[in-house]
Amino acid sequence: MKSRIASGLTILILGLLISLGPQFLFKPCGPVLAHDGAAASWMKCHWSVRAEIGVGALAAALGIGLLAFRSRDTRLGLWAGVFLSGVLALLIPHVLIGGCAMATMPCQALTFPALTLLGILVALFSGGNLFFHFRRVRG
Amino acid sequence: MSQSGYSLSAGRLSWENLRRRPFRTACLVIVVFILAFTLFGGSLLAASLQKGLQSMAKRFGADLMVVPAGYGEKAEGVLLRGEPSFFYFDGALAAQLAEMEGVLQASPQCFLTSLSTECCDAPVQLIAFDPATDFVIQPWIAEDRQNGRLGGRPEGGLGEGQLVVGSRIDIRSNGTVQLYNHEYPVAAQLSETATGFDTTIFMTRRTMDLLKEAAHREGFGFIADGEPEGSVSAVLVKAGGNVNPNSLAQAIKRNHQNVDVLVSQGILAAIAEALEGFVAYINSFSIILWIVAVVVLMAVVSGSLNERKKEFAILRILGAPRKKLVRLVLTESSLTGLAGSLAGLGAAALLIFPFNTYLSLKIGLPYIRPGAGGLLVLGLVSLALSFAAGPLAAISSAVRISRAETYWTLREGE
Repeated sequence: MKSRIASGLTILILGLLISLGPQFLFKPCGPVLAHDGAAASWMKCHWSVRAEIGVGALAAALGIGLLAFRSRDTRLGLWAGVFLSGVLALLIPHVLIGGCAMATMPCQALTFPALTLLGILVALFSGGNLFFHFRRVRG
Repeated sequence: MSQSGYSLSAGRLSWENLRRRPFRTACLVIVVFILAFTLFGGSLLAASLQKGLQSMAKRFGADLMVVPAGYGEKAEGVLLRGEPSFFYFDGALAAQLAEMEGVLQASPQCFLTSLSTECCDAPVQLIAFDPATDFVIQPWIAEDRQNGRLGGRPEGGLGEGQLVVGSRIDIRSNGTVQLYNHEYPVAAQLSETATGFDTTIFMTRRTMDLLKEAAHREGFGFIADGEPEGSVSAVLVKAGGNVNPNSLAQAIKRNHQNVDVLVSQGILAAIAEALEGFVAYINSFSIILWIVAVVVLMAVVSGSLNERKKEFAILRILGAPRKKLVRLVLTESSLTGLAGSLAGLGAAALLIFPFNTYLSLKIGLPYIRPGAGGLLVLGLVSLALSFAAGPLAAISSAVRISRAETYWTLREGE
């Protein structure tokens, strides 16, 4: 009971951090401004962060599922979903979309490292639970 | 062999003891975790800062940087943090400084900035040097080439239209960088310096003139367009062997009222002073934490062994020699030490490696992470120190418990 709530809450919080962290806590680069000061275009990191909103929300929803469902088979499926969303959270900034070119830009210096850390935590935590549940369901 | 089918070895007993007391085990692991995290994290930070300062001192090259009056701070921003800037004064000053007594070499440089939307997603500093007099950039390229860092890049000097870029400049897959809507081939990417040079693009004066011409054709204008022909942004000066750079800077200021002079020794000394304080703080904090961790572990182990006196007395009655009791306690503390150390090292790596650049920007000091060999040494030393804290704290209690009289221990409390 306790571990079910703790693990569900952990994934819910990590998912919300992936989704909302870049919007409020570790913001990416701003828009490129035109001569009149208006936002002329957005850089790649903006779209990476937009995609992370969806991935983080998915992880958070799966976390709510982990809080709600007790069935071992269902939880096995939920953990598999969480694991894949963690991997996706890692791939978006580093492989699938990417970010600004220079390492000193805010997205490369802070936003992506924070998303990397959160993605690794989600993948490790869910990977461990997936392994544990898989053994229990199979064995 | 016991009836359950496995040997009652010290390892097996220790493992079962730890598994059946999860709270106590967790407390012991957490103490070592904090110790390992701090030791590895702290030593990694200190080593990165020291490497950064060494690299910076090596790459400054010039003793003095002469810039237009009022632009000293901006020039320091270009030099240390790569903050793009441009300012100009009369180029004839370079020749005048070269003739001055005490000056060994003087070389002019000209600054421009790139547009934000191309090349690197942010404006970067463009610096043009004079190949005939340069004594900073070209020796650096030669050294990197000698060290094999430039791969298959072409030999010889920098060709017309070619660029040399800092370590943090993103090169396109076709080996070019786009500036003002034109692509320029990159002849070399320089090694990391932890200075503003990492986000700088270097070229010869001729290439900068070509770049400006191409940009004019695209409709771009520059502040420098209004400046007289041959204007420069800075003159780098190397002082003669016995000349004090500070005295030379004063002499230059006396002769030329309209300039600021940056003394690289002064900049480096200020950074070294800040770094020294920071590293001393990390080192003393690590030593104090190590002592505190050993004392805390001693208290926890001693308390827990006192509670388990009867368990050890029973083991003695079952035939376990005194040495086995000592081994049992040391194995338990070694297992918790190893788990805490590995977790602490992993957590520190997970936190520090991805945030490398952010840390260096926040600390405001030159920061270069050590290479694989250096990291391995730091990791092993931190692992050994944090791991040793467990057995070291347990040894006296282990010896004490093994010497206790079995009969009286069992009768205690009756």
